[in-house]
Amino acid sequence: MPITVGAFGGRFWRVLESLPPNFKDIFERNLARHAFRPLDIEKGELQSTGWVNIRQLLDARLTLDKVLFGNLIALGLRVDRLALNQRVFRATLAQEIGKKLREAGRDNLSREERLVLEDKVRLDLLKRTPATTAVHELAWNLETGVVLFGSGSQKLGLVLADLFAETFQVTLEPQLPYFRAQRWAEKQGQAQDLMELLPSPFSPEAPVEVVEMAAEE
Amino acid sequence: MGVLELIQQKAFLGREFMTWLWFRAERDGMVQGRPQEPAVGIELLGPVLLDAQYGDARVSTLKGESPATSPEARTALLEGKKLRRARMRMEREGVEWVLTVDGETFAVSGLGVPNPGRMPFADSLAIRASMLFDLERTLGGLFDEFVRLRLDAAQWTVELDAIHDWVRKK
Repeated sequence: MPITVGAFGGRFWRVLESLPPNFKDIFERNLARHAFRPLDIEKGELQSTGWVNIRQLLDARLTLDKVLFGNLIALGLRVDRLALNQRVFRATLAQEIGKKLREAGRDNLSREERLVLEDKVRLDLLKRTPATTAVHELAWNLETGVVLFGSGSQKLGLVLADLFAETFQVTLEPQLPYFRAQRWAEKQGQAQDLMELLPSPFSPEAPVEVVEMAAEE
Repeated sequence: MGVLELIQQKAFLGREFMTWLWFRAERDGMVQGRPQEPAVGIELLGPVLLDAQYGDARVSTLKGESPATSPEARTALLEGKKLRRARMRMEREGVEWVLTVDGETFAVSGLGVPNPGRMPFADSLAIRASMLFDLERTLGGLFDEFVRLRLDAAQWTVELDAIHDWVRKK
């Protein structure tokens, strides 16, 4: 859900390292490298992910001046996906098999012939299927290192963390309660206290909450 | 222990934090985060989702006019359930946010951000992003205060007694 307009939904993240002095050069180079590219169906790609201009999702020719707004980096993460409708695939395949058998005057196809036909039908259908497109907005405060990302999906979060690290050469960490608590506890020299912390019963009548402790390595 | 295991094992912190916010908001109206920062007004709206890690019915979702003050909320708390997700109103120094917060992930949703009107894109982005970053700092400040209390055994014992009292009298 967007940062630039309407209601916001998503997650907070944090960049763990400080930026090197030449960060603008790194960003400029890597933004182009990790910009969105359309799906290449011939290569078997069913998903393509990359950065786009936050103001124009069709603009993937990124330069720093399109993404840097004062102390903010703002980008769109575009994800295109292609999914084959299995019912249509099976029906089309049956039709093509029938046609081929009629043409050849035979009763059945060899396994190899069937596989070749399957690949052809799959590719033909994929070429005619429009990809679904989603753009998730991101804003990074370069002073504080806090990043807003307009999606709460854990799966997409993993994609974001990888792409972000490859593009900006820094680590992105989700603002989960444990990470936030750990950072606070480490600053106060209480990291061990946090490790040993167990749930408290908030009800005067309920049993103590059980947490499975993993064995120490 | 792996990071994923630690995240899972300490996920209770998020639910305890949300329940603690609820307690402080009902008791004091305002909740103090970091000492140098202004207190935050918090009001629980609905829906709210409470859960427990044990029992036959582990999740209670309460909707309606004022689910936070309903008898069902009291029952859920007495059963040992904690607040996992809630729609709430937060206010700090005249700035108000209405949003849903998930305690386990700190994901937010349905957060209304005012449209700054006709102005250059960069200015509009700066204003909206600034409101969102302020929210992150405010929530983070409240959570830091909770963690400070939580790791202070003596203060937490006092706080927990007060929480038990609140649950009993709700």
